[in-house]
Amino acid sequence: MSDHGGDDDHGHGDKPWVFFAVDCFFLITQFFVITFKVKSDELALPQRLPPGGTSPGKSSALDTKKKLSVHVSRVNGVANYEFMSKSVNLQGLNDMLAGSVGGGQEYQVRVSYAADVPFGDVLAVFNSCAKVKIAECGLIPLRGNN
Amino acid sequence: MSKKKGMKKPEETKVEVDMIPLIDIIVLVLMFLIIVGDTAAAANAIQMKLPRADQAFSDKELKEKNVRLEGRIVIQMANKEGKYMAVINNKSYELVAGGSHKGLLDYLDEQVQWQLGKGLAKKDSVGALDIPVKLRLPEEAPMRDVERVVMTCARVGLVNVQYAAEMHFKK
Repeated sequence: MSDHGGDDDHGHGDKPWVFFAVDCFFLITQFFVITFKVKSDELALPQRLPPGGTSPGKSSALDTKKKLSVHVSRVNGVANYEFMSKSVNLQGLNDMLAGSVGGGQEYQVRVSYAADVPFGDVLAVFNSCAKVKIAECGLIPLRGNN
Repeated sequence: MSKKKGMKKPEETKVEVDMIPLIDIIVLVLMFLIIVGDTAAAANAIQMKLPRADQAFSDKELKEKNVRLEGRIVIQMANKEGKYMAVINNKSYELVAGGSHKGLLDYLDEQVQWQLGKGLAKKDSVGALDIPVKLRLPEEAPMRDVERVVMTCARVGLVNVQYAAEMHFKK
């Protein structure tokens, strides 16, 4: 009786390297499958800087929109927003903007901030403005920003 | 046993193509091309944690809203040795107070003049340009550095900014 270690016609008993090739193929495939990351589409929040840039003195003569001021700071590691003489959190700011702004096109927002406030906190203001259709948001630069 | 001297029967060679190694090689080559192609495309994008904004849109959605994307200049901020710098097309520029770094201003001005010269951009009565600028700014970057980037754009007349944001579930 012949020992059929493998079927020579349909298998590769006479070519043992094929098994190693297939093993390598699967190992490499597993590596790429495990490390594969779906690239997510990056989003963008469109905004328009007020005419004249961020300098309030330069721009005041150039536009007639009503100006709203928001000051961003950090209190105990949490973002704090001062708007219309009130200190609120982000949700509070959203509610106040929704309540006080009728037509967004008539308004322009100027954002001031403490130097070490992270950008994410200020972008949240731009995002809130976008919700109420305010398209122009400018920054009030820090004095003596060195 | 008889051996015929001087005569050798030609062997019949059967050509068989082993498919499995062929498939291995083709798949490996394809994977290589996919990985390298994707890596090359993403080479310019600096890895950073972008802020979240639920009012942000993808480029496709921005196009549908008639927001200009052609000729867009992408400015990124990178933290190099504890200092934030502006990066445009893999070239770094220092961030200077008042947005007055000459190299960065000159570069942006050059881009603006080129687009104006080719008729690809327009300037309105107050000097504002319609060239879009995409600002890829990390979420944790301090505002003292971020404002320098924004002021630089404003100085050159680039007022149509698009702040890059991370995907956020829209309410």
